[in-house]
Amino acid sequence: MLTQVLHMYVSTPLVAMVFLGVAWGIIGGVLPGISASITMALLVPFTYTMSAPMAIALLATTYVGAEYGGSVPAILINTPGTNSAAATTIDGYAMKCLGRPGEALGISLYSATLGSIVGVIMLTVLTKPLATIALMFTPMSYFALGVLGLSVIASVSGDAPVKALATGVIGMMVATVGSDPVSGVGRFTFGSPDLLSGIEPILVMVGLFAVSEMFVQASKADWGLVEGKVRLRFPGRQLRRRLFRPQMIGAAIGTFEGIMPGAGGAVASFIAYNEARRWSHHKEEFGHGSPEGIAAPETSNAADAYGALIPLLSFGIPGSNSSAVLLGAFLIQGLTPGPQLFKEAGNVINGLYGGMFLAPIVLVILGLLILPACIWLVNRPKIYLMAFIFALILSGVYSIHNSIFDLGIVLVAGVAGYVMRVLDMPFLPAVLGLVLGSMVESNFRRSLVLSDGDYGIFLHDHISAAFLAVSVLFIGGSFCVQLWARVRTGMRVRSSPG
Amino acid sequence: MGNRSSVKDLVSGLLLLAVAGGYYWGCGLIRHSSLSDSVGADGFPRALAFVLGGLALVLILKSIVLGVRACRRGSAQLQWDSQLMRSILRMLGLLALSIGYLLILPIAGYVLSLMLLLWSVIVYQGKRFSWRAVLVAAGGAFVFWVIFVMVLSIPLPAGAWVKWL
Repeated sequence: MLTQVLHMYVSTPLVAMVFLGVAWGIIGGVLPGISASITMALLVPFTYTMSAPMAIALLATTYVGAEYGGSVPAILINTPGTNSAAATTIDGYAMKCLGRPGEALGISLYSATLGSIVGVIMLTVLTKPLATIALMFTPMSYFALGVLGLSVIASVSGDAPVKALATGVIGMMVATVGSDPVSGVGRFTFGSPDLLSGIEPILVMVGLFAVSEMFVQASKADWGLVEGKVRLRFPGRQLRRRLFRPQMIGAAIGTFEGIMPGAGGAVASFIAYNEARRWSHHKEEFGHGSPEGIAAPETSNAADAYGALIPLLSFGIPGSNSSAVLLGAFLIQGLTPGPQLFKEAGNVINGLYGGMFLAPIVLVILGLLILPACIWLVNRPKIYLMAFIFALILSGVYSIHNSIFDLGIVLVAGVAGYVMRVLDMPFLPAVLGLVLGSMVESNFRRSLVLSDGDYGIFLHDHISAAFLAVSVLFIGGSFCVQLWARVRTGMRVRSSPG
Repeated sequence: MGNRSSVKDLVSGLLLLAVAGGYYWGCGLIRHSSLSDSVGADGFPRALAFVLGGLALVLILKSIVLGVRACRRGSAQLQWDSQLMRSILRMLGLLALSIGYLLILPIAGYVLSLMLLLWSVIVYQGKRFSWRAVLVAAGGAFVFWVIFVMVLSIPLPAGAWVKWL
């Protein structure tokens, strides 16, 4: 594989794609409100005409860049560029207030690079063995895998499990639009030929994530400005030694949370921050500009971005919004992530791994080079930035199929996303339902055809039975965790004075 | 806070119930095929409609129970959320601009429509009318045209007016 990857570096524009992806990711991550998934979604239409390895490498490295980019406004203007950079604001902004913004940015970049290196090693080591297991799958196993993927909804539901389930069902409903997978009969097309091939998940995702964000931003005030000149400063040898422990804590937590679908980078970075403080010899510095308080969440964010690709590539299950967008890009290229991908599209895997190997090095180079441009961008009036991002979304979506109908779908999805935001309904369940819905339905029906209508076939197939059992455990476990959290909150309220 | 979330739950429940009802009605329009299996083309969608309807009813019941509890505690009060109303109106405005863009795109063509969209969003977001805003919009539309049409070779609409030239 190594020789193939090296060959790709010299014979294809892979290196340029990595530079482009990381640069775009950093720029998108720097802009408050533009999350990693939105940054990727904005880029998807441009990848439509590219070859699959280049398109996937471009988007995956955008994810890495965006996770780092989010820390820049978190440190400089106390506004996280992405959700997962929220933990960095605590000590990053405090260090900036102490007059050391360059040092804070240097620690952030250094930690993100280290997290990326750990992440890429885990990605390479874990993905293929998991995918090999998935090669033994039958339609029953695929159905059960889809159910397992949907059971992720239980862990992303927070304190609103009914709403999360409902949005998951809505996602599955959208997936039923188009031709029936068994008989080919049109469903919910209302005579429109545009709907016969179904609704592309990427259109719904761009609407849910990017357009709804524009709708929300339309009534929000401008963000802050960066004052003075900022120059990046990397940590010295002594500080690097001190940062090693929190970085390893961050890398371990980030990778684990990335692999666990639904956990999310923001949760990982806060856990990493908390654990770094617990194991630190300088606990008193946390919250007042501690370098360890920046290193742990930043390493965790980077490792999480890589970890989230493992379930996507092995089983085709997106564990985060960003990996769901990447799944959409795979589908646009006519590829289905999962075990077959390693057999049928080895060049895509090589391109992806090649890009991800190179991303940490490119992150350092671009982190140094484009910081002034990022600061310039953060300081632009939001009025202009919003207009240009909106124009980019509409132009990009049109270019997917040269269709005004697609623009209409994106706007409808944008309004739905806005309503979901107002009513506190989570997005990820809807996306999971959308991308897993047809897999669940078609394999369920194929299995029943094979068994002549006997539902017991799902338990007779060992892999299917195991997945269904894990799904039950997953849902039960999430339910118990939520119940325990409520009991603890109740106990705290009762024991608190007054 | 509990009161506010119960109102959101009630609205969510009613909305989801309407979606479930509409979707179930749509299931009735699905043709039956002789190639179909035992589940049928409408089997899975009907099941989804029932599940969504059930979840909607749970949300509605939950919101009613929470509302009644709040009334008993005397903490129930319906407040006009002016910030939310403003946000909805701003969203509708931006949506109207986007729909306008879709309508004029085939007629006016990509460059002109995009320039109008950029300018209208800039003005809508609070920038007063100025030649600078017009220039930024025109420059932006030109840059987008170069990227999409010249570099990426995407056939974006030239506009109906081109035929009249």
